[in-house]
Amino acid sequence: MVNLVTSDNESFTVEKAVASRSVLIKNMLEDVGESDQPIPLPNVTASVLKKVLEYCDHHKNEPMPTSEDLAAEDTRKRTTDIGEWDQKFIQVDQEMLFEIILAANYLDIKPLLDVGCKTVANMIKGKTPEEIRKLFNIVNDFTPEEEAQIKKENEWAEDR
Amino acid sequence: MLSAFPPEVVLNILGFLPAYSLPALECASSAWKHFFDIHQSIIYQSAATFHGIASPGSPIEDVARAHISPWLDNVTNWKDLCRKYIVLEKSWAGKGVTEITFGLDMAAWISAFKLDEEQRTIICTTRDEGWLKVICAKTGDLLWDHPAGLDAPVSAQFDYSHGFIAFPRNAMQVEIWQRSTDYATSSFTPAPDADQTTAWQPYAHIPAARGHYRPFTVLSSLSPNLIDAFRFVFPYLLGISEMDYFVSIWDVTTAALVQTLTLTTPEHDFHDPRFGPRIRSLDMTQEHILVCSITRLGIYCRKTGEAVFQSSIPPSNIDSLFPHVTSSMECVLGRPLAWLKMPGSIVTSYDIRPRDPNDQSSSMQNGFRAAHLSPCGNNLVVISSHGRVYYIPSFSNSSDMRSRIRIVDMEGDTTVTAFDGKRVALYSGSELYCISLNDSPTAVLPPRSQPICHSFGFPSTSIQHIASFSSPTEYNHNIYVTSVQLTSTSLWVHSFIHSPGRRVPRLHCVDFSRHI
Repeated sequence: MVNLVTSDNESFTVEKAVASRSVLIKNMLEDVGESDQPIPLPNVTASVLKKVLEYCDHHKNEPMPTSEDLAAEDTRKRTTDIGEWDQKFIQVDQEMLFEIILAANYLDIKPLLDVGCKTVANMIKGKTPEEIRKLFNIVNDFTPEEEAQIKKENEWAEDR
Repeated sequence: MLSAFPPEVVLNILGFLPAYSLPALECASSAWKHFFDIHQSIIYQSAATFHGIASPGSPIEDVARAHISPWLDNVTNWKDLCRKYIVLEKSWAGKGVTEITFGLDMAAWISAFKLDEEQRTIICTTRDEGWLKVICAKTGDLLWDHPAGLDAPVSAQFDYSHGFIAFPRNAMQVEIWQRSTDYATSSFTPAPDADQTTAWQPYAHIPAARGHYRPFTVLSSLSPNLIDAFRFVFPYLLGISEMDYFVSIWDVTTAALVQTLTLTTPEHDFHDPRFGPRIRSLDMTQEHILVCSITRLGIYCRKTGEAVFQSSIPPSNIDSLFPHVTSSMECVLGRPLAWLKMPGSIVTSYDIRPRDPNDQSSSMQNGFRAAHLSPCGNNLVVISSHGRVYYIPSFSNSSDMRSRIRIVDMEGDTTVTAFDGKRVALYSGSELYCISLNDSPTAVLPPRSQPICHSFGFPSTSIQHIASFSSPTEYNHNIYVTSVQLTSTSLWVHSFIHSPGRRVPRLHCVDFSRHI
């Protein structure tokens, strides 16, 4: 078992196989060797870690992606498909979604990072600039002239 | 979102977005604009990879080079490349300016032609004079013709793949010639036989040039198996005997016969010689061999020769082939408004509408015209002689096939077809059509917001009427289309006008990238 301590000082005890889905933790465990020392995760809160561990637990028996797999991923066409369980798992509010992505990035859990990124990408897909601003609370800080100019430059992507 | 994530995470997110969704983000705020300005090249290179336009890590020149049209010759950056592709796809979908760029008056009647997109040449066989020729795709100038001294081939068929031409020498041998410009740098060792060397000798002093070919090797069949038809998908050449469906596969680079197998076929294969050669199309992918005769379509596993998809039909009842297709899924094409003279500016879009269930007129079909596999090997297109087009994505997966099959009925006998994995071009009646199968999640154009016929399994499929080859009866002549070739940017059509005492062959290029 491995003991993980979050930024808000909550501690989680999980199977090694679950924690090792995180390449960061996996490397730490390998460096430290057998030890009961808790692993501090100063960038992750308890509510996010709980969610991340839920993901890791579900996927614990899958083979870890090797560096060859990661390299090969780029040689295939990237797909935006998300597995059924993952899709349900990632149905969270935007704040949590962003937190999960950040945690996955920090903990180095590539498959979870991609699930999160694909979800954000699917939110953006097909939207107008106005819809995107609304979605992410972005303030339109262009002058009307600037906006007209940039719209003109990109009009090839409009009209489906 | 931009402030929430480190740049590499933002780039990872953008890597899952199609190119047409990126500009909206760039227009959202000055911070986004700035982010796009800094990372433009990475963002759009990854979009080009997403759409399958570019291979990962390949330089932009590699993408730009391999096109028969010059539309990407001056492309300098990935954003521009993506923009051009989107405009091109719009053009294919009938939302752009397209024209027939040239109608070459050919000195001879072309029997068949293939395009070498790298060198921008047309390789063709002609029926009247000489036979194998290479002409410039831009000007129509003759660049090369086959050295005299070889016997005329048994048939006009030939194939081209990756800088190599394959054509039959006799019923049991296929000659392979290589582009002369590749000859010196190629990693393959040429092994021409004595006859080829003799035929080549008088021309050996001519320096290598664009469009020129020189002998590479000869493939020989195991006696007594004839090669009635062949298909060349580099580096493999597939030959088949019509008698017993005996298949030979050679590795062209070494001339070695790497595999032979006899395809499992039903005992009674109806063949009426009046319909011409028994085998209408032949195709090969990594895993499968496709053999389509007028009465039978078979897709066989390359390893075992076992059929994985097979249909044998009496010639008037092709529909029994797909019993799981209900009439509610069938669609017919809107009727063309009027015939148009050629050449002209001639792209019209049609909506696909559900077929009238009471309309039985197009249920009489008459055997297979052709069948094609997509280059990726997953998807199948089958065309019947009377113009019914079946599109079967993931044909080897039999589950749920009913909801995947799509059918379009063209109006009229269909004689000439081509399929490049994304589009089907076909000549039906006297009309030339192009069906775009814009349904992949990585398609360059977004799916239609409102599929025309969603419940019938037709999302984002569009049919373009490209050209009409009918002619007013008072001119007392007929127009025949003999062959069609599809590229990602253009459609090439060979036709001839036949009037009393005169025959005018023409080669047309409908270039969809012309104004991009």
